[in-house]
Amino acid sequence: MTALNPIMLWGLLAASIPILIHLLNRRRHRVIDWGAMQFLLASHTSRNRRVLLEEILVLAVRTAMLAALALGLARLFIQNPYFAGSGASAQAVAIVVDTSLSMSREVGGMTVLQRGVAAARQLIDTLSSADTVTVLFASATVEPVTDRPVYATDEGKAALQAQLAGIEPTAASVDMVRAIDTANLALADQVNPVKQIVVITDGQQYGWHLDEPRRWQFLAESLPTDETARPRITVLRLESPDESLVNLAVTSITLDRPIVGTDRPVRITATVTNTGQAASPARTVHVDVGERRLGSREVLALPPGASESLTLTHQFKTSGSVVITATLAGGDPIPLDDSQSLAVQVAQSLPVLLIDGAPSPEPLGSETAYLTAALAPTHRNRDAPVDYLVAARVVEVPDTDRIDLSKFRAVVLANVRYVPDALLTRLRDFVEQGGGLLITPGDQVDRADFNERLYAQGQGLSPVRLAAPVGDATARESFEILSDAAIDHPIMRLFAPPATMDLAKVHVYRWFPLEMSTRAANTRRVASLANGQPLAVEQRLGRGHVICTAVPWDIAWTNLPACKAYVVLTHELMYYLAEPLLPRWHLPPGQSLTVSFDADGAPPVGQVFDPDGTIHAVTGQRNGSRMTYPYRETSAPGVYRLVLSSPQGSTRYFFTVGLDPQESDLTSLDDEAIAHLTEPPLSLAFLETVDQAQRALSVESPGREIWRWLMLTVLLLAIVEVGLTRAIARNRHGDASAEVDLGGKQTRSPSGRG
Amino acid sequence: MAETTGDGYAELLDPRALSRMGNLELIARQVVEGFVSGRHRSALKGFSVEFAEHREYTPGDEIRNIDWRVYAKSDRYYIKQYEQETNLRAYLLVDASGSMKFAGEASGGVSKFRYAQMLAACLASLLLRQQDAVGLVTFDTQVRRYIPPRSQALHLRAMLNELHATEPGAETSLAGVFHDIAERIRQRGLVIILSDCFDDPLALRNALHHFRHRRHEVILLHLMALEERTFPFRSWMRFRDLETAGRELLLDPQGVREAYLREVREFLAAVKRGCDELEIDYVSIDTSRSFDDTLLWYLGWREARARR
Repeated sequence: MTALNPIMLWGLLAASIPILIHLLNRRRHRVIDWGAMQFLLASHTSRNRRVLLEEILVLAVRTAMLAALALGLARLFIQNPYFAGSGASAQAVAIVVDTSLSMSREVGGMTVLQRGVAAARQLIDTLSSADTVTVLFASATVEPVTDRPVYATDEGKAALQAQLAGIEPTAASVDMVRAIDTANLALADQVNPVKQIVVITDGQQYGWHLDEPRRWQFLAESLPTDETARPRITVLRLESPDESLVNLAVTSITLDRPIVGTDRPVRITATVTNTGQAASPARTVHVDVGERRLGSREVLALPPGASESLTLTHQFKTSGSVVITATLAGGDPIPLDDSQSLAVQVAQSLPVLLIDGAPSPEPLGSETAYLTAALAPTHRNRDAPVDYLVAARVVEVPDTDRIDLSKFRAVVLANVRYVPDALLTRLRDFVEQGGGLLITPGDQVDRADFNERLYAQGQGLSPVRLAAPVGDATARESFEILSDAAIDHPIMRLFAPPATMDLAKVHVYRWFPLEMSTRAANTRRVASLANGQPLAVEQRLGRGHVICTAVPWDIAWTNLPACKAYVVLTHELMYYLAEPLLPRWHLPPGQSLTVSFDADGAPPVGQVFDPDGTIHAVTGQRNGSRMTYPYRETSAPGVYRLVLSSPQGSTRYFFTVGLDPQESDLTSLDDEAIAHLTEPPLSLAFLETVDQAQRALSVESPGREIWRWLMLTVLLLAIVEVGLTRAIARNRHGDASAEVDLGGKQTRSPSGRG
Repeated sequence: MAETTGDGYAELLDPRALSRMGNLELIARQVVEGFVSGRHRSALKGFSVEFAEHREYTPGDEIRNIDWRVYAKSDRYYIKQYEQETNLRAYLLVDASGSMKFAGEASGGVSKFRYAQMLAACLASLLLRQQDAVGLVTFDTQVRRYIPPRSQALHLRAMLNELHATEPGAETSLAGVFHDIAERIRQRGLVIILSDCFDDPLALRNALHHFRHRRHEVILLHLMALEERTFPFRSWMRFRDLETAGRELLLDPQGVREAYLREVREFLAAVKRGCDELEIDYVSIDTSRSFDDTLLWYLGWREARARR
């Protein structure tokens, strides 16, 4: 016996109210000095037993009535063979239809989703009018198609059928744990005692998250512990991919740099994977930039699971937002994954502040001169000046007071002897907000001050403590070279073998041994010397990065500026440091987009056009002069367009939500996984046909709710109570008017005496 | 005869109002004088004197008292001499037992004993005005005080002082004490009992029979409070016995009401039946009502008796 609404069991306490009132009345009695005690004693003795019986009876009836009422409201459910089998109890059914990309696979002229919809229709038709049904479409999000569960009346069924008719597969993947959890939540408030969840899916393994047992455990724990209230979860697996399935998918499209300008070409890499079960034929991949076709490449025949990457180089002519799309020509059973897009913001400039600690009037006399030259080299062709991406500005330490750091993406402290406290604080804020800081210490640096204030026991800006410099800068015959081992930092990936450029020719004559804090978990090496000592160390601080090198970034202690690698390395450093401040234009499904910019005056009106063409209004949030436009509905993969309109004109930003490449992996749930899910506590039932699912829905109730009987009992007890109290009252007060009448003179007539 | 009393007088007879006056003599005088003067026809007229003997006329005697028949026979003036009727010796028996202390709300807090005090005072005053001799007995389990009957006006004060000084207290044992009183009163007379008679009706009857055996005339003025007759209580109550210290009952009055009223009814029927059998005049008195009914009844009774 269980209660479907156990909170109302507290109402049982109310059953004690009649007894409490009785005791209270006894307690709050009046005291009276009484003369006619002889009658009272006689009546009390004769009546006492009967009165006691009457009181006990009335109290019992009242207590039972309140107890029955509380049990009725708690919706007592009896699991008893006498109650079970007396007909199916009303059910609350949640039908989860997987609308993920894999459901778009065509088999025999129909997509799996179309079969799923047909199955859902048949299941809905099975239900009786007392049943409630909720249909949920599950992909990146799990959305019920109706605001609230509907009764499976003809009208309700028609409404659901209409909703099912409009269903389309999405390009996203499904999260089965979340889908079942949402269905369970949708059933939690339902009054019908028997709860069922039917998941209609294609049995693709991806999305079941079997590698995350904690999530499943959490789901199992969130299900009602009581067997009766616990929903029965049935999984209807429609079509398992057959062995001859061939499917090619564009699984990714990437650029070789996070920041793209118009000054240098960028390499675009599209990866195509055979996600099917059989070898794929050769197909063509087209890469488009905006409306223009950049090029096409042939993908060779691929065995199952194999990938091929195709790289094209492109130099953007203008800055602005643009979408790069890779599309597979020809068709296959899953057309939705044949195309992938990447939104790119071609930057106009990347402002960088160089703080010069040792300025020099000589050409190339200071470190910043080398840096400036590396970041914006003078182009040989003066007729076609290149608009360099990095815009470097050089200041000396005293002038930094007037500089607004938020205008820059990265700051370089070049051989600065002493960083004033105010600047130190501002730099820390800058880095924590996402800015990048490069520290290149040299001969001017006050090492003790640096270690005390910049390193500050591992709590400061610098990731390292500077030891006394070793080596002789003037003795050029003795030097250290760079280590070529384990170059795994993103900055160094361009120098990965075999394209090491002339990195091996870099000589380091003198350097600060960098002592990394053992406690700092956010610290890692960027590059090392061959003797094992770090050449540069990076630390994450807030949202931004700080990199400290062992040498000044000029010719003083190394021959680095004389090598070709210098320019590339300097650019990569700046790109890497500036990256956190850049908005993300290519997002994984579900991650929100945030666009921020400075805007004075009236804020622009924001609108997002999603991949379906639906328009969503976006409200900007002002923080000082900075406007931020957040957008969260990014569950569907594809190209989105954010348009900000103001009286001055409108700006268009593309952003893309990527396809989950694993969604194209059509590997089915294996028997082991199914066996695991079938076991308690989840006890999922896996079925293959709609008939089986229909039978699962029409299974007889394991028991019966008895609230009707309890309410009938309450009614009967109420009648008994009224009758009983009336009878007692009549017994006690029926002759209330017939008081012992001594009024008038009950006398013997004086004249009557003889 | 209610028409013979005015509204102002009705107020005067309200026991609640009278009780506030305190002085019994004042109460008795006011009530009785007002009561008597308020009547159109004097209840005293024509029955208070009885012929005793003849006496020779002496100057100063009233002419109207000369017996002209004797004069016709003997040619001498003789005066008819009347003797005041003093053969009615009335005894007021006032119950001062604990149960008489009960004062219900209906009677405005006037206890049965206080009511009996005032009624006894009025009756004593009335009897004395009628030249009757009045005595007083107060009792509970035994006779507390016995004042033999006298017909002098001053005797009233002695009785009223005694009445005033009496406090009700102990248990009732009417039967025993009535036997005792019946033994003490040698001369035949009128015994007026003011009591709630809370005793065994059979024993009470036997005791009353003793009075009748002694050829006394007996009037039983049976006092009960309204609450004792109607038992109107609703909520739980603790009933503390006025006669036996420490005895109390906690109960729901509604549960015992029916049985209680039946007990009272049976008791009253038994008492009344006993009175009827013994030819005792039984007057039930509700302490929430005024005296006039009782006083009027008494006067009617007295008149009827005089005519016998």
